[in-house]
Amino acid sequence: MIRNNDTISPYQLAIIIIMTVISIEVFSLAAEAADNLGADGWLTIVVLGIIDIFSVLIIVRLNSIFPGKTIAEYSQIIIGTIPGKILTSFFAVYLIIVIAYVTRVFTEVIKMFLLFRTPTEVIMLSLILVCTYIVRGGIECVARINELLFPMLFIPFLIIILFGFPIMDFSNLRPVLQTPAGKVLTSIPGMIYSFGGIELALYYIGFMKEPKRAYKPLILSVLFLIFFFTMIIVFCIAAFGAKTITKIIWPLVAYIRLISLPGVFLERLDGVILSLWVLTVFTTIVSMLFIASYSISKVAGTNEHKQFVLPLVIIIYYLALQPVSIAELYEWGSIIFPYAVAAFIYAVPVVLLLIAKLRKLGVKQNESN
Amino acid sequence: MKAINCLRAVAAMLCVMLLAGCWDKIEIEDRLFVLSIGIDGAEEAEHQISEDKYTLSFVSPVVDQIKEGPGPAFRTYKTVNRSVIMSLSQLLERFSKKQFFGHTRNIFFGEDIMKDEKLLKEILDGISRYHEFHNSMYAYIVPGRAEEVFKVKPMYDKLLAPYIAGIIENSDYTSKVIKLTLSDMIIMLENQKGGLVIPKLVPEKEEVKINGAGVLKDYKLIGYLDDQEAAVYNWLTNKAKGGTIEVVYNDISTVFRHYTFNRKIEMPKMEGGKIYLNYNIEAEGSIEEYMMGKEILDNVLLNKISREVEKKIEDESEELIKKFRQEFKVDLIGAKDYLSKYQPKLYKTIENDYEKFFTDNIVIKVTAKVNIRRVGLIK
Repeated sequence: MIRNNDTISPYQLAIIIIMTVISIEVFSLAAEAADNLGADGWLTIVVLGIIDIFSVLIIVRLNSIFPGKTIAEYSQIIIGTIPGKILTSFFAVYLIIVIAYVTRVFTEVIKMFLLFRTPTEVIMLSLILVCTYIVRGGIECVARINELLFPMLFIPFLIIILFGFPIMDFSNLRPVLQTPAGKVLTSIPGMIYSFGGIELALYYIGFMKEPKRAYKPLILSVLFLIFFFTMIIVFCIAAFGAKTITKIIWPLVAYIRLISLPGVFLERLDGVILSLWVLTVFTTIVSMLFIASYSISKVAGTNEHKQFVLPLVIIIYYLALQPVSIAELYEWGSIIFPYAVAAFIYAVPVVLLLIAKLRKLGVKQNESN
Repeated sequence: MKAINCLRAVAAMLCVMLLAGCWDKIEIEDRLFVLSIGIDGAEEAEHQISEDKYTLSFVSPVVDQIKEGPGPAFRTYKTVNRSVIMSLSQLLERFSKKQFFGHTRNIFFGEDIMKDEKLLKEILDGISRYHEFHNSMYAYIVPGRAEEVFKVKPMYDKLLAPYIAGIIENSDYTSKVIKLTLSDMIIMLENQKGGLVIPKLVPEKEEVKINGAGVLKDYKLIGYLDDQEAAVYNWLTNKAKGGTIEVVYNDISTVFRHYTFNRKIEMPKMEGGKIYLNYNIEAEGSIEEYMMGKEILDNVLLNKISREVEKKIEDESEELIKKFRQEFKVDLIGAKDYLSKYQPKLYKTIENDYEKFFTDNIVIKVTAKVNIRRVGLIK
């Protein structure tokens, strides 16, 4: 059951999706894009983003059949109680793995650039424990923290990133559009994870009063993501060239390290940006952890999700410490995420929508009002 | 209830004590800011063990001497070791303070490093992997040994590193100084498969001179450009901004100062397996010096002088292009860059054998266009 004050506005939905999708992948995004397509690397993101707009349309369509219900609830109606619960638990497991992965990658970045001697465990635990505090507050807290942090993060970030213009050489983006279409398409599976997080809309739309009003904010947020990712890829490629960038693990951090603001007193901005970046990772973990605990509460059939949050921390912490090295970590990521993200963004909504249509399920729109 | 409150207080205290620790705190007094690093191949006599490959010299300021002190404002320290990072950690064994490389401004490579592909690659990897180094520091080649630079006692500056970095930053006003950051250097080596033009720094007793440039091919030093050639290199690669060009007109030496200097490449045609490239150079500026008693404020005269400047630019550019094609046999003057970016289809066909193609089949013509806008204060 969703209580009365547990609703989110369309604007909050857009912010949640944006802040969930943007997390650690922006650090390495440009390197992978350039690795796939060279100077045309941004093309993958644009094509993938357009595909994701369609999948978002499907997600909203599916949700508007069951207003006021999240996928954890209506999947039990569509495919039956047990299969629905299995699907929901898959979702929860997937989210827990993502959180663990994000936590670990972020810890590695922080350890590399900011806190060299702070133990990994402390960085991780302090990050996840703060998240649990928000998550226990429920959907409204999650929505508000996202709303609050969005301008705090993006305004300084966009200002700082623009100071990189002196080190950019936009001719590095040439030759433009020389990649054959086939190659663009084959590069897409490897990049699908970069939009991972959109699938949370399957849940969050359920917390809206009118699911139909989710079309506009979701499309806008996907457009914002396309713009943001493309900008980062373009800037990084312009600054380093497509060849060098593939050799750097985190091109965005390297790019920010090269920026020096006019006047000597503000050089070395990587510390500033990385401490801002704690916030996006924080919001990603918050929105995912909330959905993970919410899913578990639906599978277990309880009304509240609070009691599941702290036990999840132990699991996440344990999983995050599993990869031995950063190489193993990225290997794990490249094995798990392309399939998992593709399944949850594309396959699950389409299949559920088809079955719901075939079974003629759902509430008619005028009845629900 | 009281017990619960008590527990809460204890938990809060524990949180404060256990979580708020700062593992990475280093007081600024405990930091030793290393401002420049010089890297040489180790000499036989310096070897402590036979594996030693590098001599690294570090220079850092002596804070209390910078303003008023009578002593030298910086001190240098030298280590001999097997690798860059080993040397850095060796410093920790010798100093009470902790070295900090986040503000390092210059890195000097000795000639012997630049002549040895393996040594250079190892060094560059070590430097680009280490998180404390910022790649915005400037890179130089020093003919002879890099440690010589640190024996210089600058005439007008207390500190050596900002002095040298300051000269490089003058490249906005003089085209004879090539500006190369470590990041540019790594990018160029990557893009040109080991080709590089790196500013040459000559240490003297009381000053240093940025004088020409070293040319690398396949990670090996193959020659030097002189002062004027360095300027021409800046012209051809579109890196020049301000600068002066001197021409002799009617036996009077005339100085042209350019404020903007643009180079554009175009490919007019491809004939008989040869690629014709046009380097269009456009400069804008003023006449700074002519001769007392002779008026220069005359359109016809100015046109003639600008023809003269154009001719000089064209001749010197073609001279340097010839040098790159015939002597160095490596394309560091932007032709490859242009072809790969603007003629990708054509470039794909010649990519594998590009070096030979460059020396034999690329014809480069330089066309200069000089606009003299001003003549200074007197007629």
